[in-house]
Amino acid sequence: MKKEVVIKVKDLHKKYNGELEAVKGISFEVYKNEVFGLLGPNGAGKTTTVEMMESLRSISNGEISILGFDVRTNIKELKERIGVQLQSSAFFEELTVCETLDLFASFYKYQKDLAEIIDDFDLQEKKNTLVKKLSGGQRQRLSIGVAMVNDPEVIFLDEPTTGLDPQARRHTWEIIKKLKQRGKTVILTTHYMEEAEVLCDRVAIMDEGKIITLDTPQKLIENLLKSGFKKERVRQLADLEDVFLNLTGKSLRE
Amino acid sequence: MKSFWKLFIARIKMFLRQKDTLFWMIFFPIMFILIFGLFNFDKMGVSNVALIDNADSEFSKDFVDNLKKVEVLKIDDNYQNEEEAKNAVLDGDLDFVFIIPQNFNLQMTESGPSRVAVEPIQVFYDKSNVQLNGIVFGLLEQFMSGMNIQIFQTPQVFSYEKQEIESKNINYLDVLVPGIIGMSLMQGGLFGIAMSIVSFREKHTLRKLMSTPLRTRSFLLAFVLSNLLISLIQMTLIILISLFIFKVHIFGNIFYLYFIGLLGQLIFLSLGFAVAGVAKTVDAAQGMIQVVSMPMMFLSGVFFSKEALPDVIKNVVSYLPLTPFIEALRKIALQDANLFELQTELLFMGGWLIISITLALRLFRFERE
Repeated sequence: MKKEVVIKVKDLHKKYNGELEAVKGISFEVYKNEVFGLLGPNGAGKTTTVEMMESLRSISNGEISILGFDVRTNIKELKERIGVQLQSSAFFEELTVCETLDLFASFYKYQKDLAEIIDDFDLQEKKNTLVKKLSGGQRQRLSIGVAMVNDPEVIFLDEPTTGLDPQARRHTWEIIKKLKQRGKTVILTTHYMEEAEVLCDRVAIMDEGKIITLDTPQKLIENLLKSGFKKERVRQLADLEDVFLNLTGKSLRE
Repeated sequence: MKSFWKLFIARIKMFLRQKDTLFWMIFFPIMFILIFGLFNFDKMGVSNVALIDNADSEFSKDFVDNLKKVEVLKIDDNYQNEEEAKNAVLDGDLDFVFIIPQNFNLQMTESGPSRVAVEPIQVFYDKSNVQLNGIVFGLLEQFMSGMNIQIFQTPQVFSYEKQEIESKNINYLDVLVPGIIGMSLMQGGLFGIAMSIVSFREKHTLRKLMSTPLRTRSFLLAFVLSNLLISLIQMTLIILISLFIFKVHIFGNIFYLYFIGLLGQLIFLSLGFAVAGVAKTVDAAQGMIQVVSMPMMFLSGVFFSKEALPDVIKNVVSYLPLTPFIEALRKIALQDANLFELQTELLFMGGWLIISITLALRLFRFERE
């Protein structure tokens, strides 16, 4: 079965000030309704890549098309149909949760029912709370919620669990799984390999501006094992995080 | 259009919820008025005088009563003793001691007052008070010859008619308040725009906004108009508090004041955008604004008229944007000037508006790549 391609990146380059080349010719495709992980150490070029896809940064060379729109020329139509979650600080501290959602929704032609988003992201109790009074997890949920106000088909999530405690992290994972169930396509960047393994259908690993590998997490692990790799310490059936969650419970602490 | 309104209202709400901003915009200027009001500069030019009446006669009492009517002389009744009063002059507590001699009396003859000279009153004063001494001796001279004329009913051949040009009773606070309004609007424009934009950039709020279909012009319009509205509110509060609590007089047309206020605000808003384009961090923005606004605060005549400055500095200061702004506000508030009479100031402000908008267009960037 041929999968429907939603995002097409072809020979993408990014040069800053004509000197530093942050992205050195990468190509990949993202299929409809998959969670696509973009991994790599700091400075690998993944944020630059994502920002070019979100049309927040100019493209030095190459092509990106999302949902059939060219990122360079159809910016306006494209922005109506994608959702972008940035770091959780990117909000107006003096507005309430409800006001924030309402404000961002007003920027779009099509707006999703905000009550539904508030329900989906467990923000019911906090809807009249100022953003500056939210906990890290609540902010993160709000920031994903705000990316959903236009009911986008493609959602970009930028390190959505950085700085969260294990409970809040698991909770965010559930939200991302829910997005997939609803037929959304998700582009995810993360530093946590465990997270990528749990959530992503396919991952691309970037280093020094290039994609060095791209496949399903299972396939990548198999390939590594086939090459004769052996972990120094065999993984136990539980790890410290399991101990932590087992002792403190899975419910959210806020 | 809808996003513009939402953003506009959101900005106003955010402003009202930021207690520290409110403090800087409202209480800070009021504090200035309060502190400078306490100094009471109106007292300058009044001399403290002790009167020792050694004659204690009908005539001397009459003389003292007349002297008390002279506005510049503030007669201090606490001193009855000559030595005490002279020491007070040495200590700087008093400026003058007038001593009326024991036989300070006018001899009356049948044909009217005697022409024998009355024993002169003695005046003790501090030689170093050059300016004040000049005024007081001039007055005393005038006062004495007035008495001579009165007593001998000499016809006054030469006289002059006084016509007051400055008929209003202007005090220091009346002068100060337009300056404070100008200063607060300058600070509000510079800080209000530059600090919020730079902090929104640092926190990636601008990037988030740019990832939505929100139009740049809606964003800028909402920012500029909400700041203008806030500055109108700020100006109104300062004026109301000045009028009703500090009993300040505003003689001119209040709508002209608002017009000039908005014009000045636009200059500083644009400069705020220029700073926001250049500054990388909130701290850098703050530093740049201080460098721009501090000298103007002290030189452009916020607290004192720039006329008190040396000529060279005065000439330079005339070209700063705050100077014509405050000058115009002051001329409206104190001299009831209309916009036609403010041609010079409006010309300078117009020039600065063009410069600052050009700078803003050249330097302002949402993101720094």
